[in-house]
Amino acid sequence: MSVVKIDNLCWRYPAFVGKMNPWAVDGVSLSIQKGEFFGITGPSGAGKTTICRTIMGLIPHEARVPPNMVSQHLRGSVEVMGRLVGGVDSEANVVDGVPRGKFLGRPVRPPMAGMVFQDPENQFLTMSLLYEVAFGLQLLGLEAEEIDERVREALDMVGLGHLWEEAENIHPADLSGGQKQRVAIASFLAMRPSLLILDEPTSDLDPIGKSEVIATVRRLKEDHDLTVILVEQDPEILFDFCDRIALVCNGKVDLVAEPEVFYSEFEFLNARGATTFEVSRIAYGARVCGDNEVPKSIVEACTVLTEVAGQPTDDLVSSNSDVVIAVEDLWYQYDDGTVALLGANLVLRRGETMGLLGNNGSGKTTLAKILAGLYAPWKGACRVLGEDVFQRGVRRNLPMKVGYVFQNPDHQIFTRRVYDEVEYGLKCIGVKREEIESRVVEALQRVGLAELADEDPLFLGKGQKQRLAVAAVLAMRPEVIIVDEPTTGQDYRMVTSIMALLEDLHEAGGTVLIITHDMTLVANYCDRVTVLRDGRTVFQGTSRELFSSPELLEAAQLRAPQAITLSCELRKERPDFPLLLNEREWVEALTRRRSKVALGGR
Amino acid sequence: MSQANILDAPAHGKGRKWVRTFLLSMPIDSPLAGLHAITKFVMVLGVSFALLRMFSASRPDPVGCIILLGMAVVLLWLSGVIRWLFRSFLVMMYPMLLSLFLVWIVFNPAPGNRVLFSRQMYSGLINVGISIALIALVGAILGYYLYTKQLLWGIVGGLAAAFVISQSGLNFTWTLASVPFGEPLTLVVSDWTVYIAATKVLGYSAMVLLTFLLILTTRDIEMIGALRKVPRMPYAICLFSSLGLRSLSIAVIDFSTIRQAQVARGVNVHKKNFLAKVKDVAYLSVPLIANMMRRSTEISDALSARGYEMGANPTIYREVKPFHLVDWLLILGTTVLVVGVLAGGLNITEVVLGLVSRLGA
Repeated sequence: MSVVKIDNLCWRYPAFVGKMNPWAVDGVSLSIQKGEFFGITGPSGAGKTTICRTIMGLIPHEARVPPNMVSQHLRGSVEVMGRLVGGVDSEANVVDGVPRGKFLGRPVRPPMAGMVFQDPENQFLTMSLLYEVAFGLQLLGLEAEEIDERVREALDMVGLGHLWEEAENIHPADLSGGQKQRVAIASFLAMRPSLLILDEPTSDLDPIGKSEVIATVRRLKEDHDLTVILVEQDPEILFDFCDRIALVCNGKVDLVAEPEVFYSEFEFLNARGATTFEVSRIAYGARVCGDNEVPKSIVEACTVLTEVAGQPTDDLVSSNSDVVIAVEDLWYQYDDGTVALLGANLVLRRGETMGLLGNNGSGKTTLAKILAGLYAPWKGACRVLGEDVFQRGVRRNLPMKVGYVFQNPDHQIFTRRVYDEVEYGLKCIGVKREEIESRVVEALQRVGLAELADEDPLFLGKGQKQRLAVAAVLAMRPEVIIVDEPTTGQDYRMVTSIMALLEDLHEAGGTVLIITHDMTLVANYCDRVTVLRDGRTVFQGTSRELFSSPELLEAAQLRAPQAITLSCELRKERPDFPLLLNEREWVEALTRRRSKVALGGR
Repeated sequence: MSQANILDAPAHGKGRKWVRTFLLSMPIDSPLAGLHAITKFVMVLGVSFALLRMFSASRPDPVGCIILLGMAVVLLWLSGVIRWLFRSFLVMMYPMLLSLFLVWIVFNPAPGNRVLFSRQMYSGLINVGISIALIALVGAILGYYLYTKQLLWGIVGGLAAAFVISQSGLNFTWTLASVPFGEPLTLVVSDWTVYIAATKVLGYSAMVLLTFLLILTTRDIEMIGALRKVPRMPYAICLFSSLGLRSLSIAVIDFSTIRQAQVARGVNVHKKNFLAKVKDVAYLSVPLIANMMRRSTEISDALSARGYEMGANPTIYREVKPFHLVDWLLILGTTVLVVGVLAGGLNITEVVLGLVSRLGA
């Protein structure tokens, strides 16, 4: 029996000015079975979220469509559990002899269906974690004892059981990004819906937390006959947990298949901007195998990708290069008594790209904010460009030398024009008027936004906003750039473009500190890493050193990307096998081997 | 800076000591956190009514105002929120109260028992002309601005020069015309106007502090709990009023991040005059409003995804708190005060003076 039945659905969002928007969803037909774990993937802006919202009936019933335009915005129909949720009767509502059309159906509500949105922050409704999870249960009309029990159970399921005691006093906004997403999921799990829709709910979670949460949902599905729709980018998650996966691109469903078949269509997926397995990209990039035989898992790759040659070398900045940032045994305490740093160490040399890693709440952002002069340290030693950050005067001038790109670009856009936005910081630090224009134009060109100079930044896409934020910092020509979580919640193409930008900076001799839990980013671009755990530095060294030690990774609660896991796996059998960190190194080693074989054969 | 730090303190580890309220945070064990929201609301409202009568011009009661102001300060102290208030918000309160004091004195010429200072400020005629004092004033401001591109000290210096010249008797004036406009205005400062102005300032301070106390120590849950006990109150009103006040706390959280992002762009690198600082604050409005708008458009989706519909009537979970003895006592005390002041004409100053004179006799 199909729980969700979408028939030739088309939808466009109402435009308030100018011409009509293009179709956001353009002729989608899907049928999702009872008890299925259904995955949806595809690039940003493809229409994944829109499809989910039509299943809930938020579209068209909550969208403000002008009454005379009804049939121009919706076509086709959506049924959930045999009930019409969205549809249109274009002959109805006749005014002056002209049918204006009428939306049919009613939105579905809990406990029938629930939907966890992408951004947890915007779906919180209360000032307390406890009431956040309880809110839906109160609306269901449950009694206090049952609510207690269900809230507790839901928090346990998402791994937040330890917060139960204090749940009433915790403001959801004070939780870390990963915890917020867990709370959002818990508030729907508690309602025990028959259909659960998860719209990229784990983008802020570290890889380990991510599979934990999805595994919980999967287990629930087995126990309670739940139907789950999961929108996700990560192929490992989709492959491990989904029964079928749909690829959505440009408002159309291009492919629906079981995971094994789905990820074998490597070229097809790649051309449409879907994220594919790293091992598939390696094998395909080195032309070890054809399109339909790409390996998808470590086990498969172990049999195919075995013949490599040469040892990768680290292109490290020499230790003679001058030290730009030196932190030794640094402590920091918030005003309410929370100690966020308890002895952090960090050494950053000129020209290096360093990754600052650590689990949620380990003090990464706090340390970075001290380095940018935004917080005053408590005790210890901290010198940036030779100057003592403990002095107020030094901190005041730090923004000229240390640029800080915040995680959420919405927090750092102060003007209504792209050009003005870049100009703003330059005016603040008193750059001469003659120089401003050339600097702004140069910075915008570097991030590829030169043509949008007159646009309103508030209407840019998320990726563009983030690049604008980077441009605004670049134009100030800081000696060090700190970037906070640049890749969370972005699709493969955007991640690649941000990485390319960081790589450019590095090549130009810039010193970059990246706060991240994206291990692929670290393996690809960071020369060195500093790992924090609970406010202490637990590791300083090269990325290769970090990834060569599984014990270290485990202790720091990190998970290596596929490329590294694969080389570690092969090294178990053959200790002389090189530790290849990323796609580039793998492809190089594989091609080198092949040309050697070709030469030898001649 | 450090005032902003508490706002984004991470929430890890056990033993949290602070909890967020509509505005900023309070210690979890604060005595006011234990009071019922209705008690707090009734107290603030009742005391404010009493204060309005206490600083009326006919029978001012400065001693009463001082006692209530003291009570407000003690409560703020007990609740542990006084630090934040004094650091951030009172900066705006001092100039406000000073201007209130001056305005009261200027516009209420009452002779009282002893006139301390009397001077005609405005004769009812507008003189169109030129005087040495005026030239000095304009010259000082313009000159200072041209040299330094700043205004404040130019204005202060110019006013001082104009005052000195006009007092010295050397203020030669060429009047071209006199146009009658408005009423003549005389500044009279007597013992009575100072007395009333001081009482008013004390009373208003107490009112402002009490209002701050209310939003600094109340959370959305308490408010919903209190409103839901009101008979026939529609749930929609409870929900949307609490969502509204909650957005205040979200704005405070956004503000601290946005302000940091602004500092990171170098706004504090150079010393700035007052006007430039005001302009910096104006820049904050773009991201603040953009974030608020985004949230408010998504909140209706979030509500319906949880199953909220107009006319919904959810069950009560833990939000309704019991009334304790202390709540009843405080409400009783407030009622006694309000009835005493408004109906019984209680005036603590007169009572105290009466006692003093009886003791003297």
